[in-house]
Amino acid sequence: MTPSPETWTAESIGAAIRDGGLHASDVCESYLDRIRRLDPKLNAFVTVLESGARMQAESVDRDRKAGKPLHPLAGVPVALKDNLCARGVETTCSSKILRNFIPPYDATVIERLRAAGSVFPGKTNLDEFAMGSSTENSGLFPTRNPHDPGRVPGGSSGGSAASVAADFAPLALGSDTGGSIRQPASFCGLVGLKPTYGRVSRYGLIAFASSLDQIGPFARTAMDAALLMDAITGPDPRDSTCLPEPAPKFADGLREPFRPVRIGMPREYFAEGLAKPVAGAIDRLKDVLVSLGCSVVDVSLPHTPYAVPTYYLVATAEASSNLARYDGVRYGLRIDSADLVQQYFLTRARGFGAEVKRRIMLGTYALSSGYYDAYYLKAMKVRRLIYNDFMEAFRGVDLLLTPTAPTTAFKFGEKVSDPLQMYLSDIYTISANLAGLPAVSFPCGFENHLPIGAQMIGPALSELRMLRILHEYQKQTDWHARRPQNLS
Amino acid sequence: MTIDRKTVDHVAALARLGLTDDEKSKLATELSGILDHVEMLSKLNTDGVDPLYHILPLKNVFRDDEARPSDVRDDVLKHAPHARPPFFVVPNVLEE
Repeated sequence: MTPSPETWTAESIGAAIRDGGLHASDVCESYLDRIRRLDPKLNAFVTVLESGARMQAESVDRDRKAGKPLHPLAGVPVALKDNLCARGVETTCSSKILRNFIPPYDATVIERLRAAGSVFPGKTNLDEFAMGSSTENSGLFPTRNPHDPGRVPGGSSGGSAASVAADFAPLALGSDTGGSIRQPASFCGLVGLKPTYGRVSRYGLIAFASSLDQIGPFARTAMDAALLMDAITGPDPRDSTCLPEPAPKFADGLREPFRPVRIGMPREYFAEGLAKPVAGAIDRLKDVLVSLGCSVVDVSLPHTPYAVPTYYLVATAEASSNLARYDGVRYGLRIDSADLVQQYFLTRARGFGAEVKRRIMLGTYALSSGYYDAYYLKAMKVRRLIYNDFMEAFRGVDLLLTPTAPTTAFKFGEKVSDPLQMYLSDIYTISANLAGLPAVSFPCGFENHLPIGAQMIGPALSELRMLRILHEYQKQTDWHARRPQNLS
Repeated sequence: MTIDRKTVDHVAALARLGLTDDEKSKLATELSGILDHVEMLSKLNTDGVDPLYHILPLKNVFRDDEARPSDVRDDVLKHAPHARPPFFVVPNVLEE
């Protein structure tokens, strides 16, 4: 194989390293070289881990020489969202309050990838504490979209999405609380999967909203996403919300024969606000799925309009509680004061950015005495109604097909001044988090040079079913293989 | 729903969040706007609907309560803003 990240997949790199066609060290150097040349234009990474990545790659080459069996992801670079704790590596959550925070342990997903022999080129940028849809809320700097540097990569996992879109790594991990994997995958032309709540251990993921957060993969192909899922899923006693049942073999499952499924298109997702080019691309995608033997019918999720307000009460309430731990005592930033309580106020005032403060305030208000029933409890009841909508729909169909976002990637500054407009850009992704369901975004067309994303939402634990369809779709189309133009 | 400055002060105190006067005025406006949008939930009838706290049918997960070394204490303290091992240091909170 020629050393060119622009033609590689995780699958092809892993296979070439195993059969001796490529050295892990050469793969690593090719990607590091690209990062050195191009990341200054994009700022996908908060931290580049050059020497650590080299050591990991050399260790894979030594293992191969010694005849040890290699994991499918041995020597394959995986970029890591910077809200995942990696032992000995600064983990910032793109917040000033966590600058210089060096975790003494690995997140479970990172521990498993290390054991597999994956290589970590770096930690990627995000909206501070994963709160945002564009990386404009990063407390450090914004990341640019590799398809158009004047536009956002989406968020919050914008750095992870940009790193795969720019071929800084064939795979990345993100986290998704309201669309933070799927929306940037859509904006950057990638596959981005939010697994079922409980499918992937969150041990070592810095918590935002604990009843919604889930870790998942970015990739170009369904097969690459499946390989990463194989490496990170499975029970973990350190996360009490992680399912005790073993996960299926995802990559093996993609090699099984394809069986057509029944697909529902929720009409509430194709209403006002959906950009025409996005609707057109989904229509053409539908035709391909029909040609594969799938049936497509209209369905209804009547409580869809309530998802955004429900989400912004549930997520902020949980965030206000989770972020109470940043007090300047044990790690990260401390603004000294002679008075301890004053020290909390000062540290949090200086350490948190505007969006994080806004959400802490909204969440604290929604949980405060006298308002709990009207806001938080009410939202939890509506959440049940949203969940019931999905259960009703899945009595007649196997999967739902929707757009991922109302538009393609927007420009910097377009939405940042109006928090509500920014929140509404998550309108199609939020419900899957509220209902705990798996959902995957994937490219299904382009509007000029900008990728368009479609989303499949499935019943709990149906990730393999969705990836199998996506794998079949990617055999028929080549949207997933399109690289950013003019990136060099 | 209108959030006034007094409410912003109260909530910021609950959250131990220092805010400038500018931030407080801005937050009063922004939070009022967001709560107006959230207001639509109150129009939905949820009588007899159970709140959905957990998506999973999982109950508490227990493990054996066995002592084992964690080996991270020194590492944790090394990265603290101010430590005097084996303690974190904070300003005095008790009268002399």
